[in-house]
Amino acid sequence: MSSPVTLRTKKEIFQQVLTQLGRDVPDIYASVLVRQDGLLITSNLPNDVDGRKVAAISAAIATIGIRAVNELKQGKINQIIVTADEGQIITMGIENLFISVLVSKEANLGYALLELENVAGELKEILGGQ
Amino acid sequence: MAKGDNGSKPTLKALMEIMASLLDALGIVMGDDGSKIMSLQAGQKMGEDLSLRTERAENVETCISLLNEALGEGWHLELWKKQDEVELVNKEESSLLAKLRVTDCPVRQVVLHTGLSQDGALCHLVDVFLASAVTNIMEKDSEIKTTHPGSNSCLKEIRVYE
Repeated sequence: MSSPVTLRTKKEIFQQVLTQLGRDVPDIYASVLVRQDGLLITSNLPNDVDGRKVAAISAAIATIGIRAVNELKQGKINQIIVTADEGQIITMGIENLFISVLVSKEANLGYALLELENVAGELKEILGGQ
Repeated sequence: MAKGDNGSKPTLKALMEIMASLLDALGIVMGDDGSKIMSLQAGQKMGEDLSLRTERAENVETCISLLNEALGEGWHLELWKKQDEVELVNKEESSLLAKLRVTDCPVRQVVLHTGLSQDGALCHLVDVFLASAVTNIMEKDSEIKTTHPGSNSCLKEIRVYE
C-alpha cells in the first residue's frame, strides 16, 4: 500500500516536475504553478523574482484570458501566450491550477509548447491521483 | 463611544459599501476568480501583518485564542464541534482538522448589508486572512474554507498541515 501523499510531498513532486522542465527545455527559464485564485503552489524562478507576485500575475492573465474567450464565445481556451521584446509568457490551465512559464525570445515556441503540454498532462495525472 | 466618534460609523459603512462595489465590479470584469486573486493577495498580507503582533502557538486552540486577542472588537472566532463529536481538533493522516465558528465578522455585516454573495471575494478574503494568520502563528501550512455561511455566524473548516 502506498504511503499517503501529503501536502509537502505533493509540493515536492510539483517542484521536481518544474525543475525537470527547466532542464529539458533550457529556453524555459522560469515557471510557476498557481491556484486559480493566485495562490503560489510552487515555482522555479530566478532568485530576484518575487514568486508570490508572479503567481498573482499569472492567475490574473489566465483568468482574464478565460473570461475573454468565454465572453467572446471562442470555445475552450488552450493556452495564453504573451509576446514581448525579451521573451514570451505562456500560461496553461491544469484542472484548477495554472502553469506559467517564461520562454526566451530565441526559443522554438512549438517545442516549448509541446513540452509544456507534456508537463501539463503529467501534472494532471498527479492531481488526478490525489 | 469616544467624543468625536459620532461620524465614524456612517463613514465606515459608506467606505465598506464602496469597497464592496469595487470588488463586485472587479468580478464583472475578471470573473469571480479574478476578484479572488485580489482578495488572496490582500488576505495573505493582512494575516502576515496580524501575526507580527502575535505570539507563536503550537496547537490550534491556543492559536485561535491568540487570534481573538489580536483581532479585537468586531471579530469572534471559536472552535466548534457537533454534539456527537468528541474532540474539537481531530488528527487526520497528515493534518489537523477542526470546525471554526465565526460569530462576529465585519465582512459578514457588509456582505449581508450590500447583498453580495457569502461565497464571493470578500468572504474569500476572510478565509485567506485567517489562514495566513494561522500559518504564521503556528508556522505550519494551513487552509480555511467556509462550509456553512450564515446570517448570524459562519462555520468554517480549518486544516493545519503537519
